[in-house]
Amino acid sequence: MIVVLEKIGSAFLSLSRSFFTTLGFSGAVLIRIFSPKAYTSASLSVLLHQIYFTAVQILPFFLLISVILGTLLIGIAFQTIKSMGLDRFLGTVLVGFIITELSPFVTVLLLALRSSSAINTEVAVMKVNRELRTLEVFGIDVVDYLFLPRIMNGMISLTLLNGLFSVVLLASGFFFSFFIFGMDFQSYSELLAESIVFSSMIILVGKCIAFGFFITLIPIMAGTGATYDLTTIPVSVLHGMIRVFSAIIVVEVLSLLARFI
Amino acid sequence: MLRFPHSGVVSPGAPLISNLNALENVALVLQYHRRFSFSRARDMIVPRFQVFSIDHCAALRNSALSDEERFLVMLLRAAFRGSPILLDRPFMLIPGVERAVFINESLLKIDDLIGECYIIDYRTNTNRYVASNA
Repeated sequence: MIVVLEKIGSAFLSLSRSFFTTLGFSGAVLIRIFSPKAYTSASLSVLLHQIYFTAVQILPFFLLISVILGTLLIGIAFQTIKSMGLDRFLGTVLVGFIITELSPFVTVLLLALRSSSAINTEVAVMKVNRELRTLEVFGIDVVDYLFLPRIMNGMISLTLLNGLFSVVLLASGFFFSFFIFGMDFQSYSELLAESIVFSSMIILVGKCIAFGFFITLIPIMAGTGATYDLTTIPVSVLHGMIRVFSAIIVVEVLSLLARFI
Repeated sequence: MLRFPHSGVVSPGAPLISNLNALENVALVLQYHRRFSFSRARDMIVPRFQVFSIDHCAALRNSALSDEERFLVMLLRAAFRGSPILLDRPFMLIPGVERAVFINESLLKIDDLIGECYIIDYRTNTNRYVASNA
């Protein structure tokens, strides 16, 4: 019994430590985001490269996934709505669920799979190669130069890609509403305009920013946790990705709570 | 590893950043500490690469450089960081070089950038310096 309690206590302490460390690091990074001194031509160059790697390079694959997944989801949702005779809830389902909930969730999963793991590995490799130490020796702030551009990139790229995914979903929505409900573009746009709730849109943008923030911040933290031993790289990526998915769930739950409060 | 704040360091413990090319590695110091744009930093650095005859290395990353080229890039990075510069066990970076003549000549080529230079090395390497009078 005592052993079990000790294990629970140890797990709780470890979780609390990780949570408060993440919170502390988040605070430090947020302060830097608003500090003009943190931005140099070098960090802006890193930011541009990161946006290219994260949001531009992924575009063909992302568009393909958006079209396939978006078309299927919208098709199924609209068919179900019609078969249940819930035509009047079409706009609510499209905007209130598919655009504000499903779109950011799919976007964050795609970006986390691609970019979070890459960032985690990159930082861990830099740590093992003592490159983080090099920056320190040359008086270059690692947070300003390496971490901040990656985190800013996460927030910008995720918000933009979510916007793109939503556009694809809305286009699919128009396609299906035309064929299933015989709705013209005028009626479709009016339906969308009536269904948009301003507070939900604010929460959507906030959620995208939070997703982008945590799917880059957590891998960076995990990467810096690597030691100078090569074998710690996969371990740090493993831990980092688990924390990323936990953070995604937490942000999703908090955004849902915010919508219903 | 020894730390000299505001000094340039050439050391096996301070490698080049692997996701930047040679030119960007040197430029980073100027971009960060002197707030130069990349193009302004490049204009300052490229002539130094030419002095060392390593201008063909500017676009190469760490793994593609030879030991001597890597040493020279690290030396330039240190020189642009500020004076004094510290060479920490340089023969570990250029194991194929027998004598300090190469180091001495390299330092002389950029002596306008370097006020003072300190070399820290193992006692067993003393002869490599004495023989070349470096």
